[in-house]
Amino acid sequence: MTNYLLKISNLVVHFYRYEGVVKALDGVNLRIGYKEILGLVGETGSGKTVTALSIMRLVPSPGKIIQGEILFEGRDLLKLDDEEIRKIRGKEISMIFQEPKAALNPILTVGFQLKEAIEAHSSLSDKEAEDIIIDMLKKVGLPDPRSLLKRYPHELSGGMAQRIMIAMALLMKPKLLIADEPTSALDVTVQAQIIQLIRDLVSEIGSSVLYITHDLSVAAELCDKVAVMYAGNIVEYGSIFDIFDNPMHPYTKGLLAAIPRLGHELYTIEGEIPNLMNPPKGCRFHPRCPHAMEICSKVKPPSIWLNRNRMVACHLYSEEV
Amino acid sequence: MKKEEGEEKAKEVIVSSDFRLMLRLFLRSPTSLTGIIIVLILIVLAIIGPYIAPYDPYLQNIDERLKPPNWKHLCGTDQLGRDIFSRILYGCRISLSIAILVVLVSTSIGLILGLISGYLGGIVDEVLMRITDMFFAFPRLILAMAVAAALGPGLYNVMFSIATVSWPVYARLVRACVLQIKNETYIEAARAIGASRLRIMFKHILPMVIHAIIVQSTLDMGGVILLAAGLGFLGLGAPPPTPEWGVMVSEGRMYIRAQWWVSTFPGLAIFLAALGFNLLGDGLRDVLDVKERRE
Amino acid sequence: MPMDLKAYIIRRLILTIFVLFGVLVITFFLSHVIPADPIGAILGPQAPPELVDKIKHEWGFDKPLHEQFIDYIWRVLHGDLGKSIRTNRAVLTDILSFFPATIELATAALIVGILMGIPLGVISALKKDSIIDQLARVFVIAGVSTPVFWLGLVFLIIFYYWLGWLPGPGRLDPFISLPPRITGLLLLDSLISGRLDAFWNGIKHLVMPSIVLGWYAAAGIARITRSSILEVLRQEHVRTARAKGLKERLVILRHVLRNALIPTITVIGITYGGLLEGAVLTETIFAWPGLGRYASGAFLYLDFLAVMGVTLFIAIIYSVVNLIVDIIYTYLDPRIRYR
Repeated sequence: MTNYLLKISNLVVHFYRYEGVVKALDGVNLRIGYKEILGLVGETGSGKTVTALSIMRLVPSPGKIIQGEILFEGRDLLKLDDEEIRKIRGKEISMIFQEPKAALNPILTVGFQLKEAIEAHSSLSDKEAEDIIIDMLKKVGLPDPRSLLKRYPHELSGGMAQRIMIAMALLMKPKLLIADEPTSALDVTVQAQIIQLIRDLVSEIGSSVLYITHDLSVAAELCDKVAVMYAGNIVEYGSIFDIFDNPMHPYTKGLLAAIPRLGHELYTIEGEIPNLMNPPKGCRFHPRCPHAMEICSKVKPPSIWLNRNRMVACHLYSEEV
Repeated sequence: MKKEEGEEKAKEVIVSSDFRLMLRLFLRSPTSLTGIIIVLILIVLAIIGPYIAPYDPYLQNIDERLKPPNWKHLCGTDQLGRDIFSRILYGCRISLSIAILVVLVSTSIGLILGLISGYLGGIVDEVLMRITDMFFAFPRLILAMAVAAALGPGLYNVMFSIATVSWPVYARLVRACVLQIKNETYIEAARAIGASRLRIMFKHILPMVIHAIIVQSTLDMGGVILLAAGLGFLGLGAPPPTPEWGVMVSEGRMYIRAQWWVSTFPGLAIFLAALGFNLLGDGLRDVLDVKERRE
Repeated sequence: MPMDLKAYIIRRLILTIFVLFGVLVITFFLSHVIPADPIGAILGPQAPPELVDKIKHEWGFDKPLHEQFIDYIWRVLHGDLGKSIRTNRAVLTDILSFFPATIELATAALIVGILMGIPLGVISALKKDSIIDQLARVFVIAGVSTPVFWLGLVFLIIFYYWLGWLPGPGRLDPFISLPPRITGLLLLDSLISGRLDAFWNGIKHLVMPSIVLGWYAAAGIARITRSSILEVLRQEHVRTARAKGLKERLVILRHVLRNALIPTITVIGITYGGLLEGAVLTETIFAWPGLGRYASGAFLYLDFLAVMGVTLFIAIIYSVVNLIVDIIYTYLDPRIRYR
């Protein structure tokens, strides 16, 4: 048993587009423990999804993983061959996406697609597979699972589709579930149910979760630990209490301040996310940072570990250390 | 399916600030480059062809009939001793004029009807859609043939027939653009006064429509050239001795056993002309595709 | 058959009938309204004036337009498309006798087009930007730019006159007699009546025209297959299929190709229209005794009624083909039915 279930070190991913090279991930460091729920929080375009896809080795072209290490139970996923990584997908590591209805093949039945998830990794008979599926569908709270199997994706509501995706992802009892903004496309009322569902199921199965969201308050509800991401870097990491009670990075502080509160003025972080084809030198956040110093525009801030579970990447703290 | 085609193209909108990027992309592709070179050559030949042609295309010379390609006659001579190369050059002007006129007429008709249909909606729209459906029920050449037969031979009749089968595509295209904008601005228009809604629509529709038409008509040109040549080949076009390419291929048919050049070179001209426009149109569409994908 | 599919078929049938009505309007317009002198057009320029007047009255050209239209529809529904001044038979009889040859050619060309086009499109899409893809795209553009009549002549010149590999124009060598006419389809008839010599000879004669005609179809099919597959590859469900851990082969087969081939089927319907067009031009060159050659002969002789009859007939066939294609498409793609 290794220290961490998943450990990403220095992940660099570039996208080679017509107009230029987009330096999406700039050396990402992340760790997820066993039976731990890690929230990955950041704005759109910060690189959260690319990070998740890198773990699954599903980064679409023109993207390429330039360097880095992704250790899953000690094995470097980036060094595995195609067949080895295929065996891990859907079985050891599963992923659910933001648009559940788009994630399903419109011309195949729900039941067929669920069975595929099992067939890919085992040789159970049709009947055995179906039993497992029906069981899981009940667990995710879907009524009348048997008739659901014959339905097509366009017949489902968003909430139902996402429950099916969750069921599909958890069928093989993966050790890690990656959830990429699973509730962003759903109604607010459904959101809460889905989050609850995920929490209950993963604790039952004993999986860890990498929960990606742009909403800090959602992270607060569900996650044990939070990693804050900005423009391709992890800028802060800590337990949910640390982050909320004692934010260190100026960006994290900005995010927290920006959560709307009744009776308070709406606060926004100045500026916009940078163009990743030509990112700012040094710290990528410095043009928007109210505490920027000279060194911030020259040298990229190192990841500073205050203890095993607390990290910040900011020059403000390197002097203290 | 024509309807979906039109609606797809309606989504390709160009922002002029990216023009330079698009030009760069366009010129980088060897196929687009070839296309635009061919089209430019065609246009130049259409203009100066008659002036640089070595022989009078109508000049018959029975002594020189059916001679193979040589230095005096680059493409050989036909059954009446006329120089094929010169005839091809004159034919360039004819084919290009037909194509341009057809496109102008059919896009104009399509533009007007599409705007009306999309803007007014309701019964008018339904009726127009059914009418375009009726036109689409015929394969293009077949209907053009029938119209040409009804009108009789002649160059202008050929143009009219092809325009008749071409306008429905543009009408659908324009209508799709109008509908898209109409749906988008309707919500903000709900708050605005009636007059400004009209202005909003026109300000947004016209650029989108014009860009869609430009791409579609470039892609269409190749087809129009082939249609015109086909009609000429069948004998429904300009009457001989007009040096229209399709007619020339047809005239050379009985000599293909031994004098292959009489039909082959005019046909090659048709092929190159259609090829040029298709490459150009494809290149234009690819460039717009990339633009749309980035958004 | 699911209930919603039945409802769709009925809806579509009604639409087709509407469209066919419109087709009749157009052909009526073309034959009765547009020509300056419809009688002259029908009888030919040499008709004596008394005959013209007689026909005018007989055929009701002096009646008001809407009455003429009703007469026209009545006649068409009874199969009366007029008489050909060339063959002196009823136009419908002519059409029905020449039609099977065109069907044979068009179907052979469609098979050629599908066999050449779909694999080309698939490989081109899956190996995007490779050498094969570049070549395929060149083939596609060249294919849709080639005038089919010219291609036929070039093929004849090269493969018949110069190389002698394939037989020349015509459906059969002259010294082989036709098999008894059962369906009108030469290949089928010769098989049924055991005339294998006619069968093989017929096939040899079919090779060139079907390749020439199928060339354009192959290009169009390859193009739509390629773009359709590229489109599907971008869709999210493909990513999900991979994320489930499916073997890549299954991802492509079940989640890409099946989805991508559905639009291709629609194109096949449109392609059939192109094949009918092309048949008109190809048959002329290969002396193929089909509808196309009949029609172009009708042009030359200003056999107006024959031209109109062929136009109407082809429009009907085309509409029916598209109807069938739409129904197949709806059967394969469950989303469409619910619109």
